[in-house]
Amino acid sequence: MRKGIRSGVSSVMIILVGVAFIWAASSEAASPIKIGVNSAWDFPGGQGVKRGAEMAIKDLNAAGGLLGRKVEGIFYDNKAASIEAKSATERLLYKDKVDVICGFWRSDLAIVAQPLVMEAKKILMIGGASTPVITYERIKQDYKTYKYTFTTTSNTYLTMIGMEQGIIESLKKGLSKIALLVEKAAWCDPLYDSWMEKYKDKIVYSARFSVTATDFSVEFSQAKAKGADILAFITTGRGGTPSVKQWYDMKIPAVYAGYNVDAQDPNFWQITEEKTQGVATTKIGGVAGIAITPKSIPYYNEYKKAYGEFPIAYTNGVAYDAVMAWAHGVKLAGTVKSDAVVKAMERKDFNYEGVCGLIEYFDEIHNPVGGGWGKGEPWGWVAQQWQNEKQVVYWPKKYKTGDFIIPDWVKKVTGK
Amino acid sequence: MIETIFIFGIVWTALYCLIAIGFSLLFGVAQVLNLAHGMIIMSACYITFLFVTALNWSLGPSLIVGIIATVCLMLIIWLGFIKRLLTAPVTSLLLLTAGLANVIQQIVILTVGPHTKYVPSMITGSTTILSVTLSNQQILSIIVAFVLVGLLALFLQRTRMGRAIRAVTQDRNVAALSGINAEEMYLVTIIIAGLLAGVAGLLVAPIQTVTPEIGWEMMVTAFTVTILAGLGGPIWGIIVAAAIVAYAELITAFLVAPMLKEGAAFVIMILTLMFRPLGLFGKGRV
Amino acid sequence: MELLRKEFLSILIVGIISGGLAIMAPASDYNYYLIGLLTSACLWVIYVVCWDLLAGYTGMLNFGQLVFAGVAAYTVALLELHFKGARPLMILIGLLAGTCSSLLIGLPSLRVRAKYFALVSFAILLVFYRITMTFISIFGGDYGLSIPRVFSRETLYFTAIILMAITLISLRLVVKSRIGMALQSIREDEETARAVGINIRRYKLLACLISAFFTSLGGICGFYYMGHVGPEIFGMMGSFDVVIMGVIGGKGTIFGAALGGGVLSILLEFMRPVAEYRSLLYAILLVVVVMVASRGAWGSMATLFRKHPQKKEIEGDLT
Repeated sequence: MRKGIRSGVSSVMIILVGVAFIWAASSEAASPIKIGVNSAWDFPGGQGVKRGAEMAIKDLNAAGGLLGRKVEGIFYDNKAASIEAKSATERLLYKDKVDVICGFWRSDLAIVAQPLVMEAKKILMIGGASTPVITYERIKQDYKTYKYTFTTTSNTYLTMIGMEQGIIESLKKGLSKIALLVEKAAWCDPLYDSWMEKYKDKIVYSARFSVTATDFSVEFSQAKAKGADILAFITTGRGGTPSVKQWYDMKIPAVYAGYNVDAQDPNFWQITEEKTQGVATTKIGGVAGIAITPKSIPYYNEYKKAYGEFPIAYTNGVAYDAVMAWAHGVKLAGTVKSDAVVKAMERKDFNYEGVCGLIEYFDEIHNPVGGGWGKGEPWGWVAQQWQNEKQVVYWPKKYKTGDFIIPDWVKKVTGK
Repeated sequence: MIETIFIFGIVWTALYCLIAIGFSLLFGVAQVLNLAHGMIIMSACYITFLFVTALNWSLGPSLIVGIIATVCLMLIIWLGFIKRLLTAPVTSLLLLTAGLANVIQQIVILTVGPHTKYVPSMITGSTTILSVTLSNQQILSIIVAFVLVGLLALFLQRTRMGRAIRAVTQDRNVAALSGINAEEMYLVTIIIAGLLAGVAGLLVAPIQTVTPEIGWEMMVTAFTVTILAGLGGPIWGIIVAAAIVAYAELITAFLVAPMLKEGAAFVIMILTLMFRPLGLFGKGRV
Repeated sequence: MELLRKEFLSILIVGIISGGLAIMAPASDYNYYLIGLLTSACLWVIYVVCWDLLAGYTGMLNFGQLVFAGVAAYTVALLELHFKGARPLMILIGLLAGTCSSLLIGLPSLRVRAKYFALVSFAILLVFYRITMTFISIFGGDYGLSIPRVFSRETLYFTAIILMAITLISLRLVVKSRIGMALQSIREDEETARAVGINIRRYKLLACLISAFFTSLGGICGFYYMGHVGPEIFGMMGSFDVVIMGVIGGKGTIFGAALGGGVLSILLEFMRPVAEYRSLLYAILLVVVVMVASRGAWGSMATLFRKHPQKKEIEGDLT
């Protein structure tokens, strides 16, 4: 009897130990891949980053995970404050021990957080922030430290090329006097300086306005008085919608082209009460319902299903592609170890087809290139113009759906 | 150029007037600096948005609901919170209303979301005056603003209740001797302030853009105009103060730089607080 | 001095806490996350305690406490970016700038009453925000100013602990001294204080300078810790957080304020998974505390544990 019990107990113990071993071993292998996401949830841009990353992680898991492992997203809100961004990043790196960090719509937060991620030798996928500092400057100056940074958001030296297309088209049509109205913010200082220099013999009036300004009566009147027929208007701030309405109401006889975040909204036609005919801005095509790649439209519809509205801010698209591009790199490398993934992502045959475009490869400052945008061009960005309730793409050539026009009422006044 | 500044100056005078008057009234009558006033106006904007854009009600009923909701919000804040601290030191009220403002702002961000919201104009089309084109919505705002101020002035001067409120403003103890119940008068003032805030929200929403940040910005405007006009002064002092701020901004944009436009309001506020804390028309101690 | 002897217990407590914090670094194997968290908490304690000197003791409700930190930080940042050389000198200049910036609210405070003062402090905050956002070529606009890491995390951590300890002890000594009594009487009733011969001007300005001095120290340490300073330091959120921490922790009690600063900033981290509700929760807490427990957490606990209430507590503490 005693012997029986003893052998019974030992067998149970052996079984238990065995089970424990197997359980431990399988949990090891089955431990999820962690993607840390940090952005400012109180703002449309930051919320876009969160949503794009969420959708990417969901899609990865729906396709069976990454390298056979489940993908887990850890999301932190940084309230657009650098100190929160720093502690959130450190938490992701040293407490949650994530494998990669994706995020930052706000450029100043990206600047602060990037060195932390680099120090930990983890990859940082930028989705949203466009400051040249984090790629153009830092990767060039110190490749060894900063090689772990990749971005799907072209830096401002490139995006301003897209914004310039409206001016270029207008000049082609014979308009010649530019009023340059640019908001006062750090991101567009290079743009302002560059255009002031490039178009110096065509600019008749220039002004910087605050990002919270909603009344442009003075600026517009001045522009009109000086005979401007091109209104190069650049804003990410409060003045997006009021400026268009005011331009129309005041009948400023100039083409309104540049960058206007509000004008990216698919409902902008109704919002401005149809005053936006002829307004040109740039947008990430993939989230604008334009079939940049076969994945664009399905993504567009999935987003609406998931969140009840079509994508408005561009950040969700680039964040989605940032996560997916990294996943692609991981698949190519066969591991999540940073150095191997960096090598994989630097391959000239990277060829990842995203929502915003095809990434043929990442260039030497880890900006994406391909699919209609060459090197030195703002990957993913299309220049579009509002024409008769639709957003018509007029640049780049590959995705063009129509020509740039001068709205009728402006034509009448300028005679062009 | 001059005409542009002149005409748009009137538009912004009217809008600033609308934003400030509810705040100013409460400050004048009950000496309460309701730092949540800007947020209340913002709530009115959002409520209008919810009904008109999100729920697709037609404009008329939405406006009425918007105003009623704003008045209710004001009443809740008064009865539930401010009233209980009327006898506490001043700083408590400041902290309380600032805290409430933040609560409101956070609730809005969490429920409606951070994206900019749009409210359609009540009247479409535009009119040209003196070769300056204004949208009809802006003209409507001007008319409503001046009418409201006029009505308020009449109410305070000519009606019995208005006179009672003015008595309470001067000295609530003496008023009590005449049988005027200060509590009741405060309540009436709150309702009027709520109405004014509601109307301000409705008129401002189509012209501004509606985001969670405008709450504090409107608070700064309301405060600047009120301080400039002065505590205890006549109602039309608000119009003058609003005009000064509006024109200072436009002139700064024209003569100095558009970027510094909003700085003009700050400068006015600081100068007033430092050199003439009573404001232009104020009476009483600072 | 006699004062030192009287306050020996407080100083000892501060010393113990500081020692405890210092040990946590090697104990946790220099975990960057933990060290970062605690460094940040120490700085918040400094800010809140300095705020309390003005708000709790002198009756000057300051909605822009971080202006001092910001001015100091930006000064040091500019010096770091444009001049090579003596770091101690740069820090000294930054300190000077930050301390002097207190005069911007100190001088107006002599002319206006409490409620207007609060709004002046708010206005000054907004002005600085605007200045940094307007002159982008100098101040970097919304990108702010960044420098590469100069001091190691450990150095900054221990520095922050030391600064916190110095601030706590200094301010405790100040409030328990004659200066402190003068400040409190100003808070209670300026007229009476003036009548008994207290030089209002001198004491108010002194309070501002002391508050700004230590806040600037914190600001400079914060700058080196972050490697960055941006316009957000002049934003409403930061300074309002200071107010919330001070009120919830306990106005008019140095340790209460310290408690508020320390606990709430760490709580922030614990709340990270639900960070979107954090601001709402803190704002609600502020409202609740102001309405119900006007003496804050510390004050309420003190009242609870007092066995023989000597005097009826007057609301006046809060002015």
